[in-house]
This record gives sequence, structure tokens and C-alpha cells, in this order.
Amino acid sequence: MSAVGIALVAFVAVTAVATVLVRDVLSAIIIFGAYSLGMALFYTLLLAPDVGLTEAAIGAGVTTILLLVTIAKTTRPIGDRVLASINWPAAVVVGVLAVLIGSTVPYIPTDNFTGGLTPVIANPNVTGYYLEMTYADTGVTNAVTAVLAAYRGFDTFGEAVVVFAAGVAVLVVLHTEVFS
Amino acid sequence: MNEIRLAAILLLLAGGVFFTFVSAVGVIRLPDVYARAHTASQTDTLGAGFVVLAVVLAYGFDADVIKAVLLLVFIFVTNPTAAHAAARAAYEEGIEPWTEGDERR
Amino acid sequence: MSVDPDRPYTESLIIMTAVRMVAPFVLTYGLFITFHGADSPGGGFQGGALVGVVVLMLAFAFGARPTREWIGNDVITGLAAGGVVVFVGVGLVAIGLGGAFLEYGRLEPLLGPDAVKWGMEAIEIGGVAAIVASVIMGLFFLTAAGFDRGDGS
Repeated sequence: MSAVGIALVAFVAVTAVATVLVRDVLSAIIIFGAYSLGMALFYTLLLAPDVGLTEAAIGAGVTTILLLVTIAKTTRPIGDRVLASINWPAAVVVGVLAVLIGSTVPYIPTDNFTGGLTPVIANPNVTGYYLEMTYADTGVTNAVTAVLAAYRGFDTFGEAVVVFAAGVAVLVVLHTEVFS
Repeated sequence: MNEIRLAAILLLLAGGVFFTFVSAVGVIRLPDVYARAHTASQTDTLGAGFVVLAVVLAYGFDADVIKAVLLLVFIFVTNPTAAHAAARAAYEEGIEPWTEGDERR
Repeated sequence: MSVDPDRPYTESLIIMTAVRMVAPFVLTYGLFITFHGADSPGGGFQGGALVGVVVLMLAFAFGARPTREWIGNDVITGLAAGGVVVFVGVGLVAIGLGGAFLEYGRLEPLLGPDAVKWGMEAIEIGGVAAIVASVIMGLFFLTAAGFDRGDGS
């Protein structure tokens, strides 16, 4: 991984931990926005500009705005301490999990399957099939869209309905029937 | 010719890094929110401006330059607006500007 | 210099002008991401999110309440429910023409030889993008409006 990638990973890790540890809600929200921006850059570095774009718009934009509006509507508890108290047993469990998952990273195959720029991360046979057959099967050139809408169309239907259900759920929770 | 171009690119990049560094120091060192908003907006307008100009020079004249120039235009429109919004929000909150002799906040 | 914190908030001319200038470009970009998602990075989720963000930007500049009234509940509800209807509709029409759910190839009598591509475009643009954009707008407007317990509930 390049130096930029390592710096981004470090930035994302630090901001993620800081989001959890900072006690002031407003500071946590702003640090979380910085975390999202780091993730957006990281996705772009990993050749997923569309995911990076969405992360920048949703993670750094919409989520931050929704959380800010929420603390503007409620209260922002002000304490003396900067950091929240740490639940050490939970922190140890999370740390062990992170080390376990992180230790699998060097074993991910990164063979360049199709000869292009795209690194094939996992299941090279499946990924290779999609990359080779997408245009013949569906007539679109963006393999991601093809997987999303054609090969896994039913899953995407579920996802879209989940988003719809989230909107309905908020309406139900707020005892209202109109969005505006 | 190429040496001159390389030197110009390096100079622009150095300018970008310099202004970004200055504004990072300013955000930590300056006394109140208004002064910090002023210096923080340098990062994008001057820092990013110089870096994008360096990119324009590095790529020469092709389609990517149009994107870089568009990027520059959007940075120049949105970033001062964001700084203005932050300073204005502070003013609406009733935060008094720092004057000489006050305690640092 | 003294500031009266109780005076009413007025919209900022600078922010309104900047948003007026930037919003059309962001909206165009969001629509491009949505409509060109089949042949370049992007798609319904990404483009819909950008279109939703444009409305949040307008609300930021012109105030949440005027923007809410300008968009209107019918548009948001219609886009969200209509998106689901379009998605289910494409799937069910495929079943009606003798195929499986979302089997775009069966839509050829309706959409011509590129039926698979046009079917995918239909669910990405008419389905996913509409749902995502409208739910983002709706969540923001609901949060900004706050919680009104109403009549004693």
C-alpha cells in the first residue's frame, strides 16, 4: 500500500477511536465527519469513486447535518471531562477482534485477474466471471451496476425497500403521516 | 522548457503546502473563532488553489485541465461561503470577538 | 461591539447566492451519476443521495421550513412510494410475461432488443434513485421539524 494509503488508514483509525472517546457530543459529530471524509478519500484510493462519492455525501454531509439538527433540537450536555470513561472489558474484546480481523488482511489474494488496473480482492473466479461476462449478459459496461440491478436484482429490491421502510419507520416513531 | 515547467510546478506545490501549514498553525494559535475562521479558509482558497494550479501545469492542455479549473472555481465559491457561514453562526450565537487584553479562548 | 442574541435570525445573502450558483451543478452531477450509472461509476443509490443532498443544501441556505413547504409532502411521499411501485412493477411485469421476478429479458416485447439494459435503467432511475433521494429529504425535514406530541398522545 502506498504512503498515502497508510496515512489515510491511520487517520481513519484515529478519528474513529476519537469519535468514541470524546465526551462532548458536538465534538464527536465533527470528528465523525472527518472520519467519513477520510473514508471517502480511502474508497477513492481503492478505485471505488462512486462509493467514495456516496460516503462524502451521506457520511460527511447528510449524517452530520442530521446529527447536528438533532442536538440543536435537544440538549448538549456539557461536562468537565474531555474524554468519556472507558469500559475496559469491552475495549479488550474489541481490541482482540480488531487484531484477529486485521491479521487476515495479508492473506487476501490480490492477483490481478484480468490484466487491468482492478485488483481482484476475493473469490477471483466469481469476480472474474462478472468482469468478463457483464457486457455480454446485460449490455451495460459498469459491472457494479450489473451485479446490483441484474445478477443480484432481488437483493437490491430488498435494499431499496429497507430504505423506504426506514422513512416509514421514522414517520411512525414521530406519530405523523406527512414528511413536511 | 521542461525544467522551467517543473520548477514552476514545484514552486506552486510549495506555495500550497506553505499556506496549508500556515493556516493549520493559525487554527491552533489564534485567539478566537473569527480569527480562526479567517485562517482556516486560507487552506482551501490559497492552499488548494496553488495545488490545483500545479496540477493544471503538470497535465498540460487536455481535458483533465478543464476539470481542475472547474474544481478551482467551485473551491473559490464554496469555501469562503463555508467560512462565512461558520463566522456568521458564531456571531448569531452572540460570541464577542477577541480584543487585545482579553483572555485567549 | 455588542450582539443581541435574541434578535431574529435572517438568511444570509452570501450563502443564498453561493447555493444558488452551486446547486444547479450538483443537481446536474447527481442526475448524471444516476442516468449514466450503467456505463460509468455510479448508479441509483449514489445519484439519489446526491439529488437528496441538493435539497439539504437549499434548506441550509433558504431555511428548512420554506424549503419543506416548497417541496411539499406529496412530492416526497410520491417519489418514495412511486419508486417502490416502479421496482415491483418491473419485476411483476416480467412475471406476467412468463419469466421470473426481475427477469429483464422477458421485457423484450415492451422495451426492444436491449430490454435487459433498459429494465436495469428503469429500476435504477425510477426505483432506487427516487426512493433514496426522497427518504433523505424526508428524514431531514422530519428531524428539522422536530417532535410534536400533538393532542395528548
